[in-house]
Amino acid sequence: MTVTLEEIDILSEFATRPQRLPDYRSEHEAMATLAMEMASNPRNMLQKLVETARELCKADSAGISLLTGDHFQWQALSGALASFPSATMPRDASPCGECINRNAPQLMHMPIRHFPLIPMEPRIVELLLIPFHDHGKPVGTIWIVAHNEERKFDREDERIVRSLAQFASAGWQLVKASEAAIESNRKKDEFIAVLSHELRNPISSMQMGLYTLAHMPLDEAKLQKSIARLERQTKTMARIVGDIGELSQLVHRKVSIERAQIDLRILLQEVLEEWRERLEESKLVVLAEMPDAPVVVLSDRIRLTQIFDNLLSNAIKFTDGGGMLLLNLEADDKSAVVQISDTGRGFDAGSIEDIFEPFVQTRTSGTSERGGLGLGLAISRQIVGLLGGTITAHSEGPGRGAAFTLVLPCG
Amino acid sequence: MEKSANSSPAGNTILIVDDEFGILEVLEFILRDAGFTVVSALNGQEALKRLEETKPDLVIVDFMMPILGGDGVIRAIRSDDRLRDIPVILASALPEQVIRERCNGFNAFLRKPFKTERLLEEISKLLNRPSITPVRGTVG
Repeated sequence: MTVTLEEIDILSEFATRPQRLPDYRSEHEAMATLAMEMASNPRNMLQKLVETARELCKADSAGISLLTGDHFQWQALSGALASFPSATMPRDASPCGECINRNAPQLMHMPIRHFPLIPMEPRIVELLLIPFHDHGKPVGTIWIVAHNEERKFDREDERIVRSLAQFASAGWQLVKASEAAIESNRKKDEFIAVLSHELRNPISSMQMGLYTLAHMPLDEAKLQKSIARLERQTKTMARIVGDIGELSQLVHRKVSIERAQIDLRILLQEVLEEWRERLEESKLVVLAEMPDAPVVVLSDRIRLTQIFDNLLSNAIKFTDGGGMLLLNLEADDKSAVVQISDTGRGFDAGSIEDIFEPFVQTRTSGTSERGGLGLGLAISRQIVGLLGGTITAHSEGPGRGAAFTLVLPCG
Repeated sequence: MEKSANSSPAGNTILIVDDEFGILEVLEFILRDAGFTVVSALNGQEALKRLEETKPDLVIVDFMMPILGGDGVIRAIRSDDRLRDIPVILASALPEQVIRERCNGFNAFLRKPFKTERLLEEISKLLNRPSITPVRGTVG
């Protein structure tokens, strides 16, 4: 039997409660320690922060709850509640949710009466919550708790916790930035390692090709074959190196984007025409569905064509003859959606994110992807990003086809 | 038509397995010219099918392949009475120490890109044959 929010909300008592005198000295010392901690060990800072909150406010417990999606998770704890297993609570069932919604400090008395999911023991008698943000976006709350009726929080406590909330925001942003940098470096290292690994195969075949020319007795026909093979391999290597260069430029945004009004229906029809022969050769049944009205986007014709080329090329590569290729164009006043799907090899649902990573060839099953390093989708994704759109992949599973959906903002 | 001056290792069949088509293509050419009968497969699963059909005298297999890799092929060979004595050369773009952590049961290892001469030497050694490195400009 829960009570209303008004019944547990005692924020107004701040006005009537006597305010204790600030202890600036302790506060200053604590903040100085926190600042040092933030500089040297940002990740531990949140823990230090809640300990500081508990000390300075003489609270029984203190903690930080972080908002992930629509759940709150206890991140750092100090005091009697510290021994609690890390709790996750839906936003709507949590006092933190209320705090974030109102974007203001909250003071509650016996909040369990309105939020039955919060811990029963030790009793949360008074709960003071302050929201903290990351670039204006609410990230979580910092809160202090009294487990008995004697400790009553006042404006001074609110001031201190608000101060600490600012520290929390700053520390949070530092941690995120440092984690992003570390991840970025790791990805680059991995890219280089995978690249140098992947190139060994094409080089191996070229070396053997050269061996045939240098050491084998070859009649005219065999000589020509060997040379033709080497030429093919060289072209493949050139394409691989070109792709890597392009991917690198895209990632570093060193490419210019032209913008013009483009009717996607016309562009897609041109692309299909360009691919007609290859589609016929591959014996795929092609179905295209487009609206009657123009679908205009403000975008880069060449780059868009590049993306469609990549998607069609993949569809052909991974769909056996007799299969289907569907091209669907739809639009509303906000965005245009192009979906290219096939009835081919599909991919494992777990690979949905991986498939856009460089070098991943998750659809390889039986035949190796000839002449490529698996960079096409990585490049396409980069381009789509630069064009202000999104691209996603979906498959029901291996052998059950794949669908790629490109969403572009309408010009 | 030119013939190699070396005696053809008639009757020797080599199974080559690699998911890189370019490698299979040229390796097949080199080995056929050296007189071997060559059977090829693009992944471990196909390789196992080929092994059911014929018993090769030697297997050259790549480590990393889709569906079933070199380690799977080797395990299948070593656990089959009919096939267990077949010498296996394992090739990979990965370094040898990494391979040895994940796989054993092969007779020789070659890191890609390898010198073709080295591969031919290994083949000769494992088949107990004289060198099969062809000589240029030979008599017909």
